[in-house]
Amino acid sequence: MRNSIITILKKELKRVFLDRKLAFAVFIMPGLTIAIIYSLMGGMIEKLDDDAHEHITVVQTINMPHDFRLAAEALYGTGMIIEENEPTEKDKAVQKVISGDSDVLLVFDENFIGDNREGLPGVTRYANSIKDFSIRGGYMADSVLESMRKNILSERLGGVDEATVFTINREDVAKTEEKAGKAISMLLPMLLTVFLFAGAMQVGMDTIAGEKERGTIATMLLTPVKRSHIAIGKMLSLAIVSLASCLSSLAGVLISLPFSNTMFGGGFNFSDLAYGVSDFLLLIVQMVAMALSFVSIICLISALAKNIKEAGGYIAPAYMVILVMSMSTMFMQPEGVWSYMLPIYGNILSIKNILMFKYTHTSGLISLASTILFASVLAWLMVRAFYSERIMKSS
Amino acid sequence: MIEVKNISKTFKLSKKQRTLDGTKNKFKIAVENITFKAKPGEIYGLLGPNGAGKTTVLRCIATLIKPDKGSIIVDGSSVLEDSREVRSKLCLLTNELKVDPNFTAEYLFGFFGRLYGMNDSEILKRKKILFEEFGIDEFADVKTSDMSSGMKQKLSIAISLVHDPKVIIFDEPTNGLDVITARAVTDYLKKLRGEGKTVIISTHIMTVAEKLCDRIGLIIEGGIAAEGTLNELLEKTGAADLDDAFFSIYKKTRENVS
Ligand SMILES: Nc1ncnc2c1ncn2[C@@H]1O[C@H](COP(=O)(O)OP(=O)(O)O)[C@@H](O)[C@H]1O
Ligand SMILES: [Mg+2]
Repeated sequence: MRNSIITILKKELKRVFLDRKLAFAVFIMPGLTIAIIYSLMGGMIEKLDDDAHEHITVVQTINMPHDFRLAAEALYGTGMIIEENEPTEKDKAVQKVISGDSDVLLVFDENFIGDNREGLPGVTRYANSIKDFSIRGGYMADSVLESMRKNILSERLGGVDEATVFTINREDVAKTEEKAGKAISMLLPMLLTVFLFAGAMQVGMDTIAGEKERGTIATMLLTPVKRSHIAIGKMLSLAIVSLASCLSSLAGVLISLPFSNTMFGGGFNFSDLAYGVSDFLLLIVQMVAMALSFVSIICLISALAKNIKEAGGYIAPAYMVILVMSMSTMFMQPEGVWSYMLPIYGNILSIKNILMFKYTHTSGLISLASTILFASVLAWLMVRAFYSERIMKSS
Repeated sequence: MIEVKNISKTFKLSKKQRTLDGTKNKFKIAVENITFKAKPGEIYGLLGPNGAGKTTVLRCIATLIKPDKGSIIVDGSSVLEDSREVRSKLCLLTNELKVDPNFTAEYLFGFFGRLYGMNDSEILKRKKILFEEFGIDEFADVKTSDMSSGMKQKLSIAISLVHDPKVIIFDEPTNGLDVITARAVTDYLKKLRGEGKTVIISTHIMTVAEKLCDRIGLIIEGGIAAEGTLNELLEKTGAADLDDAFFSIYKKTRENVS
């Protein structure tokens, strides 16, 4: 009677496809949401970038030495406008920085480069740390001052090399593909986890707790089909639904790539993400394991609950725990094998590793084993629940 | 043929049930030492007040719950040892049977047929007979959520009969039905009896037992207090009708208990 598992599986899947709202929520929404989130965020960051390039920094000065203007023109050309003010106008100038009419104010000591003065000359920089353009203007002003200092030094010491002393060369050893991998692995494991769970949750509560609540499960229990087969058929259908919503999320990521690459800081192309077939296979294996454990959690709770409402009440805390787990991997990258032994958490870490080209088979297999063990125990409990008179008495 | 021998069933009461029942007992003996036989071509009726244990007996026969002791044989198969075989031979009808609201009659009928291990041509044959019998043909492609409650009721009966069971068990067949539908149901049960099926019903309504059942088991407080045809019961008690017979036996049983 293995056929009966397939009969039940087919019915459950048909149910999801027949219900347009449910089908949309499970198959289309995850991908759509991800595509929209990624595209919007990418678009926003791109716009910020453009704005920054278009913006012309306005620097007000008091007692400005001519060398400053020369250094500024050499560094930023027309990208920086310099306004000169009388010392009496200082308060008004500060006000302008506060209001954002100008970005920076530089107040030089009187007789800044003169010969006959006591002590070192100084310059005070006024910037507004809550305005992005002012922060940026401040750094630009610093660069100009630095370059001006170098000019003065080389004049005094008799050459540019003498003033420079040494040069610094900065190299990034990260491979471009790794940079891209790091960027994509920030958010994606969490989103995959969420959609994997959410897809199974909606359908699972309805297909098990819902059937108990509506009393339709009684007719099924009266057929010669083994109760374990009913339970397994329902679980398998859920796993398929959950995976489908996950694949939909992956599709969403792919769709949004053209719009979203600047969101990850730019500087690389997503064509740098040279994931091979084996990476995708590993990803799918981890996702299947995770889907099975989610499904077993949802099925067990739904089987124990009397109705959909009660099931929802018990599933919510489980969902929260999993959410927190997946969010924590955004910020932490724990070392050591222990973390991979934690079911589900280990899967999320493994998925992250695959995306970052850091996957190792040891940790991957540990996470698979622990999750599958976990899912099997819950699935076994769920099947037991289907045999319990008390739990299944809803007829 | 159904042989129920000495079955007892005790339920463990949850805290909530205890407060609802207003008892301190952790256990409730629902039925005790029930024994009876129902033969092919007869309608056997369990008659008794609410809470007497009728539904519990029927659920034991249908393998939904296990008796704590005793045995039940359905057409040669043991409920305890071969529950799947038993389920393939019987159906349990109640007025609370629900149909899945997400599917059409056509689909659900086929679905349950397959769960009973039937092939497509067997299913088609049964569908022709039952859909015509219950007037479902016109509604075959309607989602059950769009059906009237009467139509859903008929569909649930048709679905339960998909595998042409030898044994038909009906818990309170006329409960909650209007007179016309109730009549249709009892007529159909008589028809099944005519086909040589074994039919067991439960009821708390005297006239239903009187008019429908070939033999009646009076079930009072979890035990069978008397059994026989209508005439045998009237003779035994010297009563004029089943109503009087029932109350004379009811009184005697209560006296014995106290
Ligand atoms: N699942 C259960 N848990 C606890 N008590 C039950 C359960 N099912 C039935 N009972 C109790 O067993 C007794 C017999 O119930 P039932 O068989 O439904 O009676 P009837 O069908 O004759 O009205 C009642 O007192 C009822 O409260
Ligand atoms: Mg009852």
